[in-house]
Amino acid sequence: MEKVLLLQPESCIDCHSCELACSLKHAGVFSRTLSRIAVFETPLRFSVPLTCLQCDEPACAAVCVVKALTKNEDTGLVEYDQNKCIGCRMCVSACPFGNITYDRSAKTVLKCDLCGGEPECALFCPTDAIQYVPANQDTRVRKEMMTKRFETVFSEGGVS
Amino acid sequence: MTYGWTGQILRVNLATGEIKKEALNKEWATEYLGARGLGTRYFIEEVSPKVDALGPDNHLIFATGATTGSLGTSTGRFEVVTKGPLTGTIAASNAGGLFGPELKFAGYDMVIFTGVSKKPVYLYINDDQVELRNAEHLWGKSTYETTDTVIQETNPDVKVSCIGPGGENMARIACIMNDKDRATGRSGVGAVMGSKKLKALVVLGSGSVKPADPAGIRESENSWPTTR
Repeated sequence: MEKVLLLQPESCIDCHSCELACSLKHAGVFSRTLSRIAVFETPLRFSVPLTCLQCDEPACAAVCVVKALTKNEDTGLVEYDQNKCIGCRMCVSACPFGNITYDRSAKTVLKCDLCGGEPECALFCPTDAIQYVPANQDTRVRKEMMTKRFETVFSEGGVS
Repeated sequence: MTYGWTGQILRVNLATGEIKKEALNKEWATEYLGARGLGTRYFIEEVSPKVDALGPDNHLIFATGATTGSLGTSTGRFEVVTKGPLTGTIAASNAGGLFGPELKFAGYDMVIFTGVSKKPVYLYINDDQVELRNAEHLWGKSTYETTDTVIQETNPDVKVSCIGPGGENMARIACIMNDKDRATGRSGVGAVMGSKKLKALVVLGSGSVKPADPAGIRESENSWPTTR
């Protein structure tokens, strides 16, 4: 069963643990610039975790001239092959979400690989703003939340 | 290689404008664990107990700990160490937020301010680029206004620690505010910053903090209870 990262900005508390967990896993250091995930916040303090969404029609793969980025139809993952990469950074420009970055010192693209099936960001997120769930359940949490809201409204209003 | 620490501290003489980078005293860093311990060790070495807290001979130290900038509960804190104007003893006041880790990512474990500046200034740190900048246009502004203004004139990603009119006027309970709503609220450290005519620290860092044992620290952080 294909699983996806579920990002829920309403639960994000801007702690940046996901970024540090990511860089620790991939580079062995704590660094926000080496992270494959980024938490962005608005001036009003609404924060959103952003990382690769593993698009079905990835612009990064379409623009890649050496096919270093490819969509794996079996796992759903957009895979990156550093050996093929020529470091042109067209993928960085192509991603509509800004979810690919380029590490100049290591000459490599930084892109979420879902940690081979056990994403560290989801593990270390203290509020479940990032969850790794089966692809057919990715809206379940939202539906559950809405259902609970209805439950509250109707029971408080005396409607049963 | 220094693990946990970046191994480098900044010394800023506000009277002369001289900025020096020096190596962290690794012996002390091992002996006095934590931002408060290390900051205090530097402070008692360099400052006489008899100095005037709001005078030119007092030092103002922004210190981080070995785990600042690492993953896990309460590791994001930094400490301000100085002689407190309220009680007249060593003051150590800490705050959380993103400022402490950013200082580590910029490559500095500690910033030590000495002397008093003639004009209001703020310290701008962007990795290796460290400079004192004019802050006359910020003087009198609130901490929110100061943070917004500095972000506008530098970089949207900078982390700002600053004082408001309370610190400028040396109110003895003044805080230093960082990331807008985090406060080093104890001991009136904001008054010392105001006495030095230092309006703000503005930090942008792209570096990293290297743990000695990545797998071990991961395991230890993972064993912490979360809100889930």
